[in-house]
Amino acid sequence: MAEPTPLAEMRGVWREFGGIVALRDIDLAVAAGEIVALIGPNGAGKTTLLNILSGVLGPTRGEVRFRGTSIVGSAPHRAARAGLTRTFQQLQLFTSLSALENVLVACEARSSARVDPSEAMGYLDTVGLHGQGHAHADTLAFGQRRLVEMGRALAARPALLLLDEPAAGLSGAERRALSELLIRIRAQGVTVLIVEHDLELALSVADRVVVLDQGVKIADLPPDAVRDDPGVVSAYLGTP
Amino acid sequence: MTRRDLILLGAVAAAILVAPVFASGYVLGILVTTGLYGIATIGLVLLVGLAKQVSLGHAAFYGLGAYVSGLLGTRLGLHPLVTIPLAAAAAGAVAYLVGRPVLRLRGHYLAMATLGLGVVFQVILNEWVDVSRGPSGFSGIASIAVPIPGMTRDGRTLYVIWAVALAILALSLWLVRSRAGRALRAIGDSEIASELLGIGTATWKLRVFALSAAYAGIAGALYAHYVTFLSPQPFGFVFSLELLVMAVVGGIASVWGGMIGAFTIVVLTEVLRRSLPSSLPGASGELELVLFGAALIAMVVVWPTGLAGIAASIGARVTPRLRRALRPAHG
Repeated sequence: MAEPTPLAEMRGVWREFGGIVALRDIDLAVAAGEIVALIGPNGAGKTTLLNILSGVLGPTRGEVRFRGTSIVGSAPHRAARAGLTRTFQQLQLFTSLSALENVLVACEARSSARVDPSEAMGYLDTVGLHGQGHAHADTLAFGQRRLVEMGRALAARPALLLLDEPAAGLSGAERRALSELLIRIRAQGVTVLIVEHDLELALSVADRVVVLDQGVKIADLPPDAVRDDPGVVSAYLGTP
Repeated sequence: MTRRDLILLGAVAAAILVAPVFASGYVLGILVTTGLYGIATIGLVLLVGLAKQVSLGHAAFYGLGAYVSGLLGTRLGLHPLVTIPLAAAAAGAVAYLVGRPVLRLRGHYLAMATLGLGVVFQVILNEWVDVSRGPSGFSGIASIAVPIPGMTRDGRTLYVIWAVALAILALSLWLVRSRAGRALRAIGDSEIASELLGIGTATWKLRVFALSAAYAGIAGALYAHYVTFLSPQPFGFVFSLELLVMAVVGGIASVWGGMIGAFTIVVLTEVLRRSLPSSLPGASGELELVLFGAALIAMVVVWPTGLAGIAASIGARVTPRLRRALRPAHG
C-alpha cells in the first residue's frame, strides 16, 4: 500500500552557517493528525530545523515540502496561507498591539471577510486568557505572553503548528494547562511539531519523538521507547 | 477614528477657518508651511511609525510632486486639480519601483535605497535642463488660492492647503485603526511572525511606502502652487532629514504627532532664524541642523513617543481630575 503524502516533509536537508554544519542530511516526515516531539540537547539544531520547515530559513541543500509543494525559496507567508504556522522560542509578539489585536491580526490575515472581535476573543479564551484581551501585549506576564502567541497561532487555523519551546518560562500550573491545550488542539485535527526541553511534557503529548544531536537525527521512536534507547540516553538524557 | 479625533479635527478646522481674520501674514505663512510639511510628515509616520521602515529620501518625493504639478501646469496648461493627483500618483509610482526590489528584504535597505534616490533626483533636476530648467528653476506656476474677495492670498491658500491636510489627517487616523493599520503595526513589530500568519509583508511595506510617497507628492505639489516658483535647492537631503525630525519630535507612532512635529519644527526654525544672527553673529544655517540633530537625539532618548506621547500622558493625568472637579458635589 502506498504511503499517503505527508503533510510536511524534509528530504536530505543540510544547513551550514559558515563552516559549521547545523543540520546534516535530515529526513523528516510529519503525517496529518500526529503530534511529533523534537528533542535534543542545546545546539542540536532544533530551532534551525523549525526555521527551515517554516520557510524562515532556506536549507543549504535538500528539499522541504508542505502539502506536497516545495517551500524552498518562497516567502514564508505562502506556506502560512496554506496552513503552516508557528510560535517562537524568542517571543515574537506584536508589542504595539493589545493581546486581542494580536489574535485579530491573525484572523484577518487568513480571511478578507470582516472579523468579529468575539471570534478573536474566543481564541484567547481557548488558551486561558479570558478577559485579558485589552491588556497591551508587553504588559502581560511572561507566561501569558507565551499564551498570547499560542492563541495567535491558533487563530491562523493551521493544519500544521510548529511550537518552539512553548513551555519555556511557564509555571507548573501553566505547563499542565499547556499539555491539556495541546491534546485539545490535536482533537481538532491540528498536526503539531513541538520542540520542547521539558521531556515530561514532550513525552506525555507526543505520538512520536524525533531526537537530534549535533545536527544529526539519531532516533525516531514512540515516546515510551525513548528512555530505553541507548543512543538517546548517551546523547541527551545522560546516565541515570 | 475616535470621538477625540473628530473633536480635534473639528477644532483644527475651526481654527484654520478663522485664522485669516485674526492672524498676520507672517503667522499665516507658518500655518501654510505647517500644513505642507505636516502632510509629508504624516506619510512618514505611517511608514516609520507603523511599518518601521525608514525613508531618507522623502524630500525627493516632495520635490517630484512639486515638479510634476508645476511642469504639467506651466508646459501643458493643465489645471492644478488635475496635476496634483498626477503628482501624487507619480511619487507613489516611483516609490513603488524603488521599493519593490528592496522591500522584499528584511532590514533597513529602504533607508539606503531612498538615500540614493534623493541624490539621483538632485542630479536629474540640475542636469536635465530641457525639462527641469536646471538649477535656475522656473516660475509662472498657477496659484491655488481660492477666490475670496477681501482676503490676502496667504489666507486663501491656507484654506486649500488645510482642506487637503485635514483630509489626509482624517484618512490617516482612520487607516491606523483599520485592519490595514493593524497589519502594518504587526509587520513593524515582527516581520517574521507576520509572515508566519500569512501576511505578505513585502506587499504591505510596498503599499505603505507608496502611500507615504504619494502624501509627500501631494504636499510638494501644493507647495509648488503656493510659492509658484521652483528650483532644485529646497529638495535636498537636509529636507529629508528635517521631515524625519518632525516625525520623531511629534511622535513617530502618532498621526497627530506628525502634524504637531511639523508645527513645532516650523516655529523653531523661525525662532532660530530670527534670534540666531543677533545672539550668535556669524552662525550659519548649519547650526540650525546641529540643533535639530540634538533635538532628534534628545527626543529618541528621553521621550521616544514624542510630543504627542507627552500630550497623551498629560491628558491621561489631567482628564480624571478635570472630571472630578467638574462633577457636581454630592452630600
